[in-house]
Amino acid sequence: MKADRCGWKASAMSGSKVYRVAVLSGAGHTYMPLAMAKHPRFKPVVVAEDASAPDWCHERGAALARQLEVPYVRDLERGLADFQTEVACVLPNTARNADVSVRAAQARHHIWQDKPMAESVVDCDRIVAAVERAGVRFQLYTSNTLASIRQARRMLDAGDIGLPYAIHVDFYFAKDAGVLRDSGESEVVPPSWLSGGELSVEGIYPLAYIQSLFRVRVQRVFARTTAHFFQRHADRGVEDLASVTLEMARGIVGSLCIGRIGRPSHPNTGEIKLHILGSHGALVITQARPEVAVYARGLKPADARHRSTGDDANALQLHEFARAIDTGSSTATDARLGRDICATVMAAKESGRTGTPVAVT
Amino acid sequence: MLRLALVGCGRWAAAYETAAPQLRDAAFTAVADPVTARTGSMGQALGATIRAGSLAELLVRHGAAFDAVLIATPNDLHAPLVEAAALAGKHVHVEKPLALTSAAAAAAIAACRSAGVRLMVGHSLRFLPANRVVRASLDAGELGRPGLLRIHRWAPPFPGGWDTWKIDPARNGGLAVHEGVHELDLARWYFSALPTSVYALARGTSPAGPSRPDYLQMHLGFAGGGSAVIDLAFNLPPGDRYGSLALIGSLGAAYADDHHNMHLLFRGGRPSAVVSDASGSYVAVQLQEFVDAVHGDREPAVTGSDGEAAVRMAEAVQASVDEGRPLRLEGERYVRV
Repeated sequence: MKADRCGWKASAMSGSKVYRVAVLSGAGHTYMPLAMAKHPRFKPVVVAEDASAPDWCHERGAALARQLEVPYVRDLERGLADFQTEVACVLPNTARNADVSVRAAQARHHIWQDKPMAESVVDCDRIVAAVERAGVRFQLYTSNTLASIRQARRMLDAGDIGLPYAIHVDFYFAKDAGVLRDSGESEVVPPSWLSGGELSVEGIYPLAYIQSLFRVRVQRVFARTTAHFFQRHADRGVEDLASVTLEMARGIVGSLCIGRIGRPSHPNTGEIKLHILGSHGALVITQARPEVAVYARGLKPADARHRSTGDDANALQLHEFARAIDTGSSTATDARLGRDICATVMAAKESGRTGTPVAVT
Repeated sequence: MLRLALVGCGRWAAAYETAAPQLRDAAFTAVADPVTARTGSMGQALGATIRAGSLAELLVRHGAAFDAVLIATPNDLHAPLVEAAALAGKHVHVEKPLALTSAAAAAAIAACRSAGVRLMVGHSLRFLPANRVVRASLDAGELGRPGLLRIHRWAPPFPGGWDTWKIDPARNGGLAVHEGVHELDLARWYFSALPTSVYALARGTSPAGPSRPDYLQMHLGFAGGGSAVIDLAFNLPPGDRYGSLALIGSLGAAYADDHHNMHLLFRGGRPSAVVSDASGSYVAVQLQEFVDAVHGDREPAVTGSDGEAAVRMAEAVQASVDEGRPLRLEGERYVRV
């Protein structure tokens, strides 16, 4: 089997079967089913939601179904059973992710799930067990297929910096989340906003990078967490800024610095960089590159000035997912890997609370 | 005119050579070093006509020829030389670290206070133009409350190999004291407080292994939730170094890296990265601050207390490395968690 220029197996492109997809809920990130609709190997054919889901979930689900031009069903089991589907795109919200993925696995569906994987390691373990019992493929959404990350992996695999021993990832997300902390302003928090903290939501990306690049488990963490920027985080006692020291297998060390730092704090969607040290050199990788900077009169403050020109990372992730289904091989971020990432996040949160290092179990 | 004596004419003293012509109201009159060839060349470069083998010799034979001493020797000599200079009534500028231990630093400060002379510690990162812009941005309120300071500083092993004292913890104080104090002082400067918690890891990636760490990772916590995560590596292949600093505040962020402000040089093959040469300029600013503080009879921008605090933080870092657990600030002391 020959690797193509992007490092992906040739077979990923050669499969021809089109997998019919049940989209389970429209509450989460709809770019996932929209990416599937554009991909030659996947075809969303229904959006389904539990009848008991809150109204806003139904509103979003119905809107997504209209966009995809597929039926909207207020019965998740019927969505899994009645449309000849083999794949589930799972995106309800963090609290329901595990429940819905377990049900999809029990219905013998391969799963592409929105992040975070679940609210607890116990729930992640439920997904792992259900997926392995059903013998289906599970892929957690990550951005490991970005051109910059693939480039980093190629260089590491080629031994360009020797034996890696340290990795540091900055993941600063330059978007707002309501009013600033201590501003005295009031806000109505939308019901769709159910964040369990930015470590849970955004932390998966850098941890997935580390897993992808180094292929080692995190063994111990020491973290500092705080609600530094936005009132809703402070009110709910969840972090929007975190720094985590990582101790990994084989003596590898590293760190994460993540935060929802607010829109004025970066001209792009955020500063996202990897600093990697090896025995014979070092790498500094900027996630956004390649990109074009566009500055123009009339751009709104929320418009991105820097626009990525790398190839479609979601499409590449779906290529990988299709390959795994075709061949029965592992996915890029399978359930066990997702579970390990969740365990690292949970350990970091505990460390942030206690001020002590915490073992990742 | 403040008359300066440079004690220690090793590698770092070359920065003084660059800075000397830029100094106002000051002039080098004397240099001292055990290596005669060094005093000859450095004395000539600085325009200092008096040369000696040590500070003691300078004080005995030429004590009336200088008003202040600039100490740029190996670390273990810093504190004793500060005390000797102070005892002779000389103002003192000493390169970092102020001392190998916080106790020795406190003694050096006390000696200067008792003698009524000014003491400045050369925490040079405070004088790097980029770092000063970040601080000015903080002071102007543009960034709001500092939340996260992220620093990477990577370099090859010291040019020409490691001098003996630089690999001997008994003489350099160890990696945290020798190099870590730079960023520890910078973090304290930006957060305007001592860190309330310290956690650190070290690795030895050279053939010498763990006994000779060349990598240090420091994780500092500050009151109010702020953090600093700093990694220092001294094992890049020969060539350029890399530095990156980001400070995220509640209202904005400052990024002092941009991949080292590199230019690209095309001359066939792959483009080369070129860095604008601004070396040495900050040392002139640093020394001028010392000169101005002495002339103005005021505390310099980096005091002995700042130097002592940096050493105390470095001691906490080393203790954390040694014991694999964090330390917490209680009062003015770091204790094990």
